[in-house]
Amino acid sequence: MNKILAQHWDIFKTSARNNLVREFFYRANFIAMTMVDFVWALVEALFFHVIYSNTAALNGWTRDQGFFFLGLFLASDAIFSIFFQRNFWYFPGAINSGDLDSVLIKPANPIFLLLTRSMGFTQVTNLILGIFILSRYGTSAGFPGGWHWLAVVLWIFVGALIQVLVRMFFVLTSFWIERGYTVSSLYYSFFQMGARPDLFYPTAIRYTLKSALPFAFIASVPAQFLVGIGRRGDLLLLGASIIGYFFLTRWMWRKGLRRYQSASS
Amino acid sequence: MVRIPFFLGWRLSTLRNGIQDSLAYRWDFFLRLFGSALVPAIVQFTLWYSAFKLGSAETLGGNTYAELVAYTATSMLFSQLRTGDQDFTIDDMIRTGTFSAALLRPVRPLEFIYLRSMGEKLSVMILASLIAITASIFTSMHFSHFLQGLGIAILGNIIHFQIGCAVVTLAFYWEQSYAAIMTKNIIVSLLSGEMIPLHFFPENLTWLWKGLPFYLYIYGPTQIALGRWTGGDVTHQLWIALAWIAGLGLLVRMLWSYSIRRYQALGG
Amino acid sequence: MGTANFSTPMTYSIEASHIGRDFRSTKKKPGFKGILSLLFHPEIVVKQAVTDVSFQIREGEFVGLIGSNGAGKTTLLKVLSGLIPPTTGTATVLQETPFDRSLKFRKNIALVMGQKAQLWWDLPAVEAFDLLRAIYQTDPVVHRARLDELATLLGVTSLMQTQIRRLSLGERMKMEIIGAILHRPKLLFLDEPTIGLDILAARRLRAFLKEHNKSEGTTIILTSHNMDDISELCKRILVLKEGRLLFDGAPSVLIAENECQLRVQFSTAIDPGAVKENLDELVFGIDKDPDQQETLLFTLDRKQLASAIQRLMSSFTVLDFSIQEASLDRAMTKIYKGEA
Repeated sequence: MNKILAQHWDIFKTSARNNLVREFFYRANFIAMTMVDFVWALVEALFFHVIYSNTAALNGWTRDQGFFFLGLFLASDAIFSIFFQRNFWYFPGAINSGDLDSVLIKPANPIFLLLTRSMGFTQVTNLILGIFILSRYGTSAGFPGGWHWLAVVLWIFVGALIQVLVRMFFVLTSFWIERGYTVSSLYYSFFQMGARPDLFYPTAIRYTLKSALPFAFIASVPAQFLVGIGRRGDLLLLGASIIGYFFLTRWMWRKGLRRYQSASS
Repeated sequence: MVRIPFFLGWRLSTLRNGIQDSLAYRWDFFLRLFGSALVPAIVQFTLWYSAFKLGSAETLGGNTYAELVAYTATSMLFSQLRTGDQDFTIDDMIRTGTFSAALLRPVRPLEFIYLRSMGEKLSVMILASLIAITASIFTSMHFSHFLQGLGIAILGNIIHFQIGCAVVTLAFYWEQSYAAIMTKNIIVSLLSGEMIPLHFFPENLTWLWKGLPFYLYIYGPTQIALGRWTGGDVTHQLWIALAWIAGLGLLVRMLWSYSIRRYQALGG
Repeated sequence: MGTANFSTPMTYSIEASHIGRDFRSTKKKPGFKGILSLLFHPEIVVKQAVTDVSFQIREGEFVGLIGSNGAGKTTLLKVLSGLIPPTTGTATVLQETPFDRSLKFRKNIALVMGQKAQLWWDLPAVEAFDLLRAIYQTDPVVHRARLDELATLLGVTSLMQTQIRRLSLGERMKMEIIGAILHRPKLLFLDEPTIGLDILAARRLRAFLKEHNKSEGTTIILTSHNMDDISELCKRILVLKEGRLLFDGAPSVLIAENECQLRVQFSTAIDPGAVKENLDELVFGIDKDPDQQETLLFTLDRKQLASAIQRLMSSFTVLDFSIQEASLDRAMTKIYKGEA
């Protein structure tokens, strides 16, 4: 077991280094895409600024808490984007073009290989920006700071994990649906809902975002826990979402692989 | 039968071709419409819901709950008009070199690409008009106001295409302009009024949207359709839109005539 | 053929017994109706790609797998490399069931597909290989030495720092081969490795593969449409036709040694029947040249060549003629066409 872990850590490290090398080959593109991601973060921030210039609080969620949420969202999404985003874009293509074949005969976990192939470091700026926003608005949002920063790190990774699992579900449908691109854009439409605090939503949508489409766990619920207004029940929902999506995607992967294998000649 | 002159003929058949194309993929068309129109509207709607129903705001940005819901619903009618990936298409053509082939055809390449994409836009317009007719029966919206808004939105769509054409010339120098187009689109999503009504902007930031033509895509048409801008306002917006089109037309012509020379000199 | 493993001649790398493989696909009708019927009563089409194929391959053999497009070569390769299970029959590869894809199995095989790049295009080769080192957990020092050795053998040492996308097709294929054998697989599947390569590059690659098979005793299964690959490399070929194994043996058996082909261009188009009367007992067969109306192709015994030419020249106006030796290429064309 240890040997396998060491192997996969080695693969991850090598792939990360390789991707850095690649970014340096395309420096102009790297800078340009960093700009895109940064502008996106700015637009999100501007959105919150505009909204809160019209009202002091939205459903009890103050301006500073709104920004605290945004900081957490940016940081968590940056982690997801750096390590996984591109791999999910390539995933449907890998299934349809037979790239999957070369992965399946390698002596390592195929999903791990598919998810660590391509990394994009352009979002590092957004990670930094997110953490900056967190520290700037933390105190006024009610975040105690100190060792609680460890909890921030933990929540950032939980948020990224949720994104990986849900995105995985969407991408695995490409075993059955050929138009993987349309499914991906559908994911991003839903994902938009996670870009706002779940307190903004009517109850039904709120519970959807904590169960079937658990985007509230990317940053919204974590932000509530960090400022001390989290509810224990949400932790249960979080656990259920992670376990549920884990087994669902595992089942889909196996089913899909079998289908892939019965259809190919 | 009347013989159609060539300068008109290719344009008509391109348009027809584009319409046929969009009909062939109507399943995709509806799925995309769902993703790109309905979900953002839900996100926006919930924002009003949280402010008024969950919180206890009386007004937000000077608007009542009903007014904001009307804004969100109406803006959906126009938000789909401004979408269009023509700039990505041209970028791709330049990068892969297929643009050279387009240059050899006896048609104007940019216009060709625009007209082809109009096929889908026409379907959107018809759909939006049907919804607007229905709405004018059941709500206080006037269909004539909607038509005026639609007029401005069509001009806005032309502006959108022109700006895309201008930005994409970067591809002649940088191999591709993907990042620039993306940046533009992100900015547009906020400054066109797709995310929130633009009068929400605090006083010291209004220059941001007033100084750019993006508000003519969604915010302006929506205000007109809702009857908040009428008569003289509409004429005023019409002149502004035409001025942008004229200016951008010149700019695009200049940028292209300059950079296309570079493209051909490099051998495509 | 491998010399190292001759002490244990009974170890087989591959044992295939009565392998059959179907594949099913759902037929989609156009439009929305098509989507609905796909959901509720999908029409499933079953096709047989491979039927009842049996053979054994010893360790260290270099075997060619040939057949026309759609004959079932790639399917068979996929079954043997464990990508898909056979529908009927059993395959034992390296003493294991390939479809289990055990860790040990995966460490000992490699698959190169000429039409699909496996290495990462945006990276210099040396970086792409480093990822393979991590995947196969090769000791870094061993990896380095092995890479140097292979790069020297294939003459690509100076290209190691170049992005793979900037390499020529031939150089890229060499890199793919290096990537496949870096971890010293016991069994190597090569699917069309010389496709698209120029004559010189293909020849160099063949020389390398031949040497590699000899020196390391790697079992190699090669599919190719290029008969030069097969005749130069493989002492044994498996010929597939419509999913069935048609021939298993040395390629030389297929080539009728004393047979040859005479290509004659006449001044006018001539009916084959008219010529046949003239030559009757001398030739086995007469065909029209598909490309040239006035030209006929005669298949005949080499010993009858002189008298056949003499007779033709005396009765017809012959503009030109040429003689082609028997080749695997022609033997295969005959098999594909269903003449053998």
